[in-house]
Amino acid sequence: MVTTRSTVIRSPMRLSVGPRVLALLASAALIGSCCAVEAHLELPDPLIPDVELQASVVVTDAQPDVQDVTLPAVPGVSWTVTGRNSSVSSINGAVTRSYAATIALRVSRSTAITFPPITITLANGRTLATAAVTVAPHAANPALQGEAYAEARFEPERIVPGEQTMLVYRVYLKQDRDRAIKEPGIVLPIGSISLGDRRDSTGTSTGASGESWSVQTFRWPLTIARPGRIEVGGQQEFYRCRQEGFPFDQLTVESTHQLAIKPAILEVEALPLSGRPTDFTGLFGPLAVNASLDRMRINADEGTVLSVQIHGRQIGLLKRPVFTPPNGLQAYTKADEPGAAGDSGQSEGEREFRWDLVPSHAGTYAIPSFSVPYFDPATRRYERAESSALTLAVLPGHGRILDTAANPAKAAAALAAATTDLPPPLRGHTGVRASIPLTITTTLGALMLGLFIGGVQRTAARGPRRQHRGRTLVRAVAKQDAAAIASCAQALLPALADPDQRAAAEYMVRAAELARFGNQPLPADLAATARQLEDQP
Amino acid sequence: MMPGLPPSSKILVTTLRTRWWSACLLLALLRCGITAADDPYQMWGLGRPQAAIPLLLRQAQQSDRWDAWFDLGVAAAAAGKRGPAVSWLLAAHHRAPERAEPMTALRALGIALPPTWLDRLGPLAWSGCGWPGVVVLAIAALSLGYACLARRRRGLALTLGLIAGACAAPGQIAAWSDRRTDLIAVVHATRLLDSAGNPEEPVPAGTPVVRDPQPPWAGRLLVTLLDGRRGYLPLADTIVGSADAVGVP
Repeated sequence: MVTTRSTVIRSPMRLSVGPRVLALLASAALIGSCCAVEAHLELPDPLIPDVELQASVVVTDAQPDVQDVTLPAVPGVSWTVTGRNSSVSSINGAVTRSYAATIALRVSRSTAITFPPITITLANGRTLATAAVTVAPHAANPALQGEAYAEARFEPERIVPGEQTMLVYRVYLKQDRDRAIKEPGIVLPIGSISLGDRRDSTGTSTGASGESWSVQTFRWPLTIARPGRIEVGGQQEFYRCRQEGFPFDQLTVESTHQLAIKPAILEVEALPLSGRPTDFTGLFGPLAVNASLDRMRINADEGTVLSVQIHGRQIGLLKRPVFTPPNGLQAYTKADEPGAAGDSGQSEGEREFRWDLVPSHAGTYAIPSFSVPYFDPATRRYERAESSALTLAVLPGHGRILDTAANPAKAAAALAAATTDLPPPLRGHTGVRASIPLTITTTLGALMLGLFIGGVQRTAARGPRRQHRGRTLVRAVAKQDAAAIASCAQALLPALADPDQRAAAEYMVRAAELARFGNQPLPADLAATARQLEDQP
Repeated sequence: MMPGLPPSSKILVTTLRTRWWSACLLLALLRCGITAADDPYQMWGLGRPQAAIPLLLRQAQQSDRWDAWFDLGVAAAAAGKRGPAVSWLLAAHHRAPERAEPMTALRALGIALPPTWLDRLGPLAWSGCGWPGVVVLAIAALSLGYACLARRRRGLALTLGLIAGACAAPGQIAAWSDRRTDLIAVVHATRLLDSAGNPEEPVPAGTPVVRDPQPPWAGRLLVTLLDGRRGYLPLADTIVGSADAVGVP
């Protein structure tokens, strides 16, 4: 089974401890931002019948822990989960947390097998599923001898120019010790057209004698524009490594070795001559042509823009389509819009051709469709991609013809007469205008000012606050001030309607006067009597 | 010399002191030159109102002042562009319905707009429009604010506020109502279209129309002519384009 130790070694080969610690801290800080959870099934390549192999289900960016991996029943396949591990890696600041479930796998069929989606249950209750994978089992590779083996091949090996093929490059490394490569030892052949990004995968294999090998597979989708024979080969550099346990289980190169690559040969047959259109420019399918008008309905003496977008491969070979405008419509060629990927070195691209259309009179104009020939590698025939026909409606607008209807001579004469009566320009000498915002602001300001003045007037007009007679009486009793007690009780008397309260007030007046003029002490119950009158304002 | 500065700083200060006035003079000259080159009225005064229109248009679009739109409309009329002239004068009228100058210019171009509410109210609207309106509204707000909180003479203040508010109301309401009428002009001679797009009567350039509040449909605008006819106009014939501003009338 392939482990992370036997994958491609990143340059530089060894990092000092400091940057690795920093990378660890950065990765810990960034783990929380990873949220795109994805799961896939990694199968051994090739899938050898009747041999126990190892596969794995890998979940990347698994924030919650994986709780369960459910393997569905597949006819001809016996498999079970044998182990689990998780890891966190940081490459150029991108932190990836992955979880892998190791699967022991044995295939008893030699026909193609479809592995259905595998359901993964996360700790938070969510479930994930891998994509269905169809793999054809192959016999063990008898070439797996020695400590490494590399081979390249085209799938398919015979194409016509423009037909897609896949350059498959596999590097096998024996797993009896640590071995690794840095980069694949082959490059795309000269003159090829890449049809997509390189796809890499890793897996395990088993040699004829039963030993375990790691396999790294690189796939390039490509095509060739010219007929001929293409051979891809070379040498692959690989390393014997030693694992250093601290601090990150890094690999250290012990020795460098070269390995001859079994070359791949691609036969590119010439395009058929029969049925080739005269305007064929070497384009290959699939091709899409789309025509559109900037405005489908315009006024007379206005213009519109006709755009033709052509999307396909090798779009740089395309010439400007011929456009014959209908009668009454004048077409002026505009500069081509640069395509998204126009030259022949790119996989797919789009080119846009535009014309300015100017009608001479109102009416309806039918714009014919555009047709571009191409060779379809799938059917091995020449086809044509066509756009839909368009209709341009021209309404009577502001044309010179209509000026006649509106009698422009009369209007011009009236205008000339009016020019002498026109007022002079103001030249900005109108001062500040009483605009709506200014009016609103002034009104609100005046309202605030009025409220303020009113508030000030209200405060100023209010007289001094009267003392609370009941509390003053209680305070006078507390101070044993006979004169104050007599005064307060006397002041309260006219406002007291309750007989008890009146009696209490009179009692207090009498007691205070006896104290003042009779030299008698104030009674002890005077405080309790005063509390009866404390609520009186 | 400034004490405490290093020698290089002293040299710099001396240079600045001896040259600052010449730098200011140069800046002032540059500003005068730029202003003279961008003065649209100068070209207009030389008999080229057509050349003044792009600058006046930019000035009006940037400031959005009613007098800028008015000057632009007058310049367009002087340059013989009837459609844009009416359109821009209506823009000035829309921004300041209380001002008489745009209406005067429109009347000079032979455009008779229906009487507005401000026209109908006459002197009754005076106290609610423009600066008198601001003053009367301020008095009303001041009096009402005072009446809300004051302890004395509340009745008098309340009466004064209500009287002032009543004086300002007709002018304010009339100006608001006039501003709501969306008057636009036909910039290019065109035809009134029916709902199916079939052309009907011709409409000369410079004709004022009342725009319906509903949004344009299929590039056409629902309008009502001042004589009561109703129909659609091509949107392009009601918009003053950059070509109209600089092109041949």
